[in-house]
Amino acid sequence: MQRSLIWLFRLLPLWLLYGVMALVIPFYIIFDHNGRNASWRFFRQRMDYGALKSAVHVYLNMFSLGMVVLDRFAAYAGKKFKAKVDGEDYFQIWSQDQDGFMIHSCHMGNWEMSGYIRKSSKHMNVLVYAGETATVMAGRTKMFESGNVSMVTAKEDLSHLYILNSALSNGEIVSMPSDRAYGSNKVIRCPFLGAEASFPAGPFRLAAAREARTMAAFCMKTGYSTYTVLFRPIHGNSAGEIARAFAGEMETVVRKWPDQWFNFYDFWS
Amino acid sequence: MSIQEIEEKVKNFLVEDLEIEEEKIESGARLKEDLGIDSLEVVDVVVLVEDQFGYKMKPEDFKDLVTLDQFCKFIQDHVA
Repeated sequence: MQRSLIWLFRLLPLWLLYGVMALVIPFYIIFDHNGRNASWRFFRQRMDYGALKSAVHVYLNMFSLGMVVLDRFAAYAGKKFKAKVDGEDYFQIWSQDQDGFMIHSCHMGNWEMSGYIRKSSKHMNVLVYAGETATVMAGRTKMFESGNVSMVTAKEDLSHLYILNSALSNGEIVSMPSDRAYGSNKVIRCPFLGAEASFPAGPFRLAAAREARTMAAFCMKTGYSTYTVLFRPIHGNSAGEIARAFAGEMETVVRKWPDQWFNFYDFWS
Repeated sequence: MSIQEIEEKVKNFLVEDLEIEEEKIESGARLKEDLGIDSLEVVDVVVLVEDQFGYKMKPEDFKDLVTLDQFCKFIQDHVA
């Protein structure tokens, strides 16, 4: 089905598939109880929206997710997207240094797309989770090749952290999603949107242990075929300080683009 | 570097950086069961070994390392 989607994108404009998706979303809302309820709670409890506004934003949240998923396959099919960058100076200056640095990303917007639409001058190692289809992995490989990006697959035994540690010590960039625990139940509790949430300790422990410069990075859909990439340096000596700084940046971004919050579970449990 | 110097450096790190209670740190202490060094702490240990001793550990290095004295002996064997 994914290959069919890529083939369709070669023939049809993006807006047409968005239109079809807009009609399908209500069915997802009805049948995906967990996702719908998590989205509802997010807008009601965290964003403090009223009931009607929350209902509208649940639809927009699901629609936004659908758009970023479709955009991924559109990119595999060769469709071009525009990138605006906020904070490019930090990225460029750090890239020119011989030291490596870390990027903490999260499940908001479409961070993966930034690797498709920007080329990094310094080699970037991106942590990805196993379980994606062969079509997606082939698409990613093809798109990342021209962007100077390698993928490192996350493993339950955390052995990927060794690879990433090595990359940092070799002066490369390491990019890790830093909002979901994987392979370890060690977390760092941080204030986020009015309550405490658990962030995985691994990415912040690695940054602190290596004393690596770190930045938060986001790639938010800001137009029909436009993404805005945001780079925000974050500071801290300990894993806890870095995690809290990251949570602070996440909060700033999610308040501006709440419909692109894609953690469809109780993030604060 | 003597084994005593290695043990001292490792002990300091375990106490100061991993905040392991000093009383638990004995040569026969098991890394995982007694000192609580799990997969995540191992990352900190890998960085320590590289910074303090100049040796880059690999995941497979840990397979046969059960106790603290085995770990210190491993470092001694791999550091010039």
